[in-house]
Amino acid sequence: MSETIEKQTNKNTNKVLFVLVLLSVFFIALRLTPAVQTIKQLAYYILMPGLQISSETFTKTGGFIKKVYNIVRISRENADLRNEIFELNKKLSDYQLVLDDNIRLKQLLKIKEDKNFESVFANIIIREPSQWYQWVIINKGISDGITKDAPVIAILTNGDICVFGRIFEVYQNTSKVALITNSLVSIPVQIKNSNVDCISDGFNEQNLKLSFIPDNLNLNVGEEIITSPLSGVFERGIKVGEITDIIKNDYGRYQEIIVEPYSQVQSIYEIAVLKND
Amino acid sequence: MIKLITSIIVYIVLIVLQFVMPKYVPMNLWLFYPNFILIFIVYTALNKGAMRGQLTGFFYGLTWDILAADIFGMRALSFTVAGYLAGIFNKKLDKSQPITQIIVTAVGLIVTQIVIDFIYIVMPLSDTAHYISGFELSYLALLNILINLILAPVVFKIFSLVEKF
Repeated sequence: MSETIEKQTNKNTNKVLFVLVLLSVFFIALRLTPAVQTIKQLAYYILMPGLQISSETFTKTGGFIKKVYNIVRISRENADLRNEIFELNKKLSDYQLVLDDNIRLKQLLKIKEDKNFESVFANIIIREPSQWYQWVIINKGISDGITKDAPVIAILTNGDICVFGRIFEVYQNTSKVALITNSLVSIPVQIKNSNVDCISDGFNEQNLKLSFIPDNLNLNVGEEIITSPLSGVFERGIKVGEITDIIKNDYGRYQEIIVEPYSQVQSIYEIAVLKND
Repeated sequence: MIKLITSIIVYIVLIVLQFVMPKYVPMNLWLFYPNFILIFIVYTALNKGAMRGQLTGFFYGLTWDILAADIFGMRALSFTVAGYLAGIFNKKLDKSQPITQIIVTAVGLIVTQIVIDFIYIVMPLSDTAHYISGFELSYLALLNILINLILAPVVFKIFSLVEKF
């Protein structure tokens, strides 16, 4: 008797497994279709408020403790200074680039630097450890003027700014950021000293990979990588990272470069999304 | 009714533990942060059987997929399979033994990793992105699995205490 019940249970388990696997495969195969996207967005809107509230509660609790220790003033001053440093660094980076620019080439190419960016500061509210190099969720969304694919930069403790990722999905009050190390993200970059343009690819790990770099190009570990003028998303000259390894291919004509992004060398809690005016 | 409320509370706590708390973990310690959700799926499967294991896996996997910027449905599939396989050991092993918990958690973690890697190979990510090169377990991923295995009996103990309570 008990054996018959057990057999029936096993049959049901297998049937349910089949349905669940089928559903999952259906989601994977049709993940980009409007119907599946709608289901995903609907579920996100149901799930997110609770997570946002809990995240804000933890943040506020932390803020209360800070108040007890009388550091609110310092904290605010620090935030203001960070903003100021960020703006100054942005300007400094622009000035440096202007100095470095070859005027003749600029005239030849008739480049007009008429891009004017406005930034929205946001806090990271969700980050999952096993997908540390893939995505984060921030507390700013459509209502703050953030759009899909907008560039996201990080502010390091020394006040420098660097590339962090791009807006992957945008919702009313939150947005999902795909980091530059995510395999879904590729950005045009430039090896600063060599002025060689290439594409940086993420592969869900700490570093980035730059492929198809001519083999005859002499590069050194520690050289800086910046965003390329060819990037339609990022402003040119924003720091990306440093070369940590150069892999020479014995039989090919290209070398592969491993880059450690600046955005992965420290904990980052605040980021800025650049809005294109 | 009580069971439903408890499940909702456990769900909220686990989601907060997995997705909200890590941002307070210092950068150099994130690797030591356990995968509470996967350990919970294995715990449920080992104690309640394959049916509960796979349903829990699917539900939590779908939640993960909704929050992540990755291939949608990938975690739902991998956690469902992990939950089902862990559930097979339900009546065959002594669940109270830490070694059993470690072995079954290892099965869950490895199966999840294999399914995810397989999906990366089969499914194109985007027009420009590189394909993840197959079943490559990085040293960091391996270390993370080991840490999860070491922490598994502790997390199992916490779950069983919560269940008793």
